Amino acid sequence: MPFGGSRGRVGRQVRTSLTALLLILPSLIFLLVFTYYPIARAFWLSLFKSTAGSDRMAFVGAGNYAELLSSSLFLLVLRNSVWYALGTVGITTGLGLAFALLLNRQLRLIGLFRVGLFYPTVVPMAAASMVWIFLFNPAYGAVNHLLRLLRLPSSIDWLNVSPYALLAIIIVGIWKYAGYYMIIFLAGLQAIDVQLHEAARLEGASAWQVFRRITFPLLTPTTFFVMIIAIINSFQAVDQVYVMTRGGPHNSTNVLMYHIYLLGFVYWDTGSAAAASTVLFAVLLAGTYVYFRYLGGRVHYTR
Amino acid sequence: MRRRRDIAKILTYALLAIASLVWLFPLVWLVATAFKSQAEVFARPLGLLPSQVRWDNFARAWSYAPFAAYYWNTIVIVVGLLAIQLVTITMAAYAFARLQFPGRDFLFLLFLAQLMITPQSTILPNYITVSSLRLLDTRLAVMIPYFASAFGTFLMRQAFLTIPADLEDAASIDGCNILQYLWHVALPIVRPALVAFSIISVTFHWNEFFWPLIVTETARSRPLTVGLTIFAQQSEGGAEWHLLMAATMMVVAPLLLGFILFQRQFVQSFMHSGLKG
Repeated sequence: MPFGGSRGRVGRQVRTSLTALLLILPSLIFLLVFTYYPIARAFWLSLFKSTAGSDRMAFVGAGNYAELLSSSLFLLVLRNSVWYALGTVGITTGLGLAFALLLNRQLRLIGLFRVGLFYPTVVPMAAASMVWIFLFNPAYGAVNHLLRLLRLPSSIDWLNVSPYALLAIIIVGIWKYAGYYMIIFLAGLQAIDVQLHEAARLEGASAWQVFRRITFPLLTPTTFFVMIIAIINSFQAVDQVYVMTRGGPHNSTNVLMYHIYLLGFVYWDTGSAAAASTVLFAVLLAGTYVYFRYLGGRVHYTR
Repeated sequence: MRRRRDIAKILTYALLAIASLVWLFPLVWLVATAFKSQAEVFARPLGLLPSQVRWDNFARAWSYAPFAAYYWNTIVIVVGLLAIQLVTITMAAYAFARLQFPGRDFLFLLFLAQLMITPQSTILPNYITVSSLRLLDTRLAVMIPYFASAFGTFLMRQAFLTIPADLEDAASIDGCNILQYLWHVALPIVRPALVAFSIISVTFHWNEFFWPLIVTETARSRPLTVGLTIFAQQSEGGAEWHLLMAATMMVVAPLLLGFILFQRQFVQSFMHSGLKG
């Protein structure tokens, strides 16, 4: 090792190890305290029931999980989260890919289009939600106004009527993330060898054939990556729910993360909130695990 | 053939223009409303542009809530956190990239695994931790779970790996210690990675909402995003949309301006964020 040149091989090795430990220690401590310990803590807490009005926690084993899974509200919450995921993941990934394909060429004004589609990524979801509440206002909101101009049904009370409220939450989710996925797809597209396209075009392949036989297969790892991120993001969604609907009307936009918030920080039912957190963690872990399993697998070669 | 290509080009422009207009609409509406009078917000027929640009909406919104405190909190949180992260990730990344030590692969795996654990799933236990550290309603509470960044460590490790070992040897022979080497030699070389990480960190924490919402209680620690929703709750029923949009604009403007000015860096940084590992 170049640095810390002390006497002897063993001494040097010890010094290097100590240096390394010292360099890693700050990160390691915070990682352990705020990432690993909390997971164990949440699981531990999920095995106890807190009783109202006292600090005593009674051990209930899987009781909190059983209670959650038999609660019609929790099942509704899971269903809402799945609907939100179904509503956002496919469309956002598809739009991200479409935008990237349109932008991946030499065009004038390309910078302008890129700004126009990507900017929601740098806008806070909480602030954007504020604008969308205004846009979705039934009486003087721009959305109904536009629908009226298009002679479509235009007296929708978006945020107060099911299923429109969930649809509104989904629309905001799509608007916020499509541009970000577009950028990831653009990175994937730029990694594809241009000569492949040129060769195919010289052979007389149509644009659709080039996309179907070359671009899309080569983009499979990117598509996969984006979809996993989109799924993970969809199960974490909560900002726009908190700002726009507070889970209403009648829990129709109450999604997993918002439910955890209600259980833990509004009803102070720590055991149930911890159990729901563990369920969320399991869902997210499954998603990321699948992603990392395939990341090394380079999906397009195995097809 | 030529003609088909022209049609394809026109179609591309048309699709991009429509998509951009739809995507930009909320921003345009936000800006337009922020400058309108209250009467114009409810006017029929609905007009896009304000008849008269009302700058005083911003002054009024600013005075209705402690926005100066919110701004200061956000800036302290974002800048302070970034400074700490840059130190922790640089140190750890250098060790992982350049030093041989027992347990390195295991520790690296431990860091890698953090990418799988999203902040939302640890909110409840972290709240309990922060509360038992007596940090509730402080800016430190908002920052502390993010002091270590697995993503940043990876980004920097990848960058350090591209530096030839010879350079390190040369620095060592010239009498540099590790810190001098990092500061004078390595960090200037990995500047693009530092910039990329900084942009992503600043964007993420400027925009963060849910964790600060839970651990902050007063204007002493509340960042802009949380302050904005508190402001909105207070003015609810009053329907002062023009003031609410002015306040919203104050929250989103700094990052949006940064993005417009440094478009290329932002886009490239977020490309990095998609190519983790």
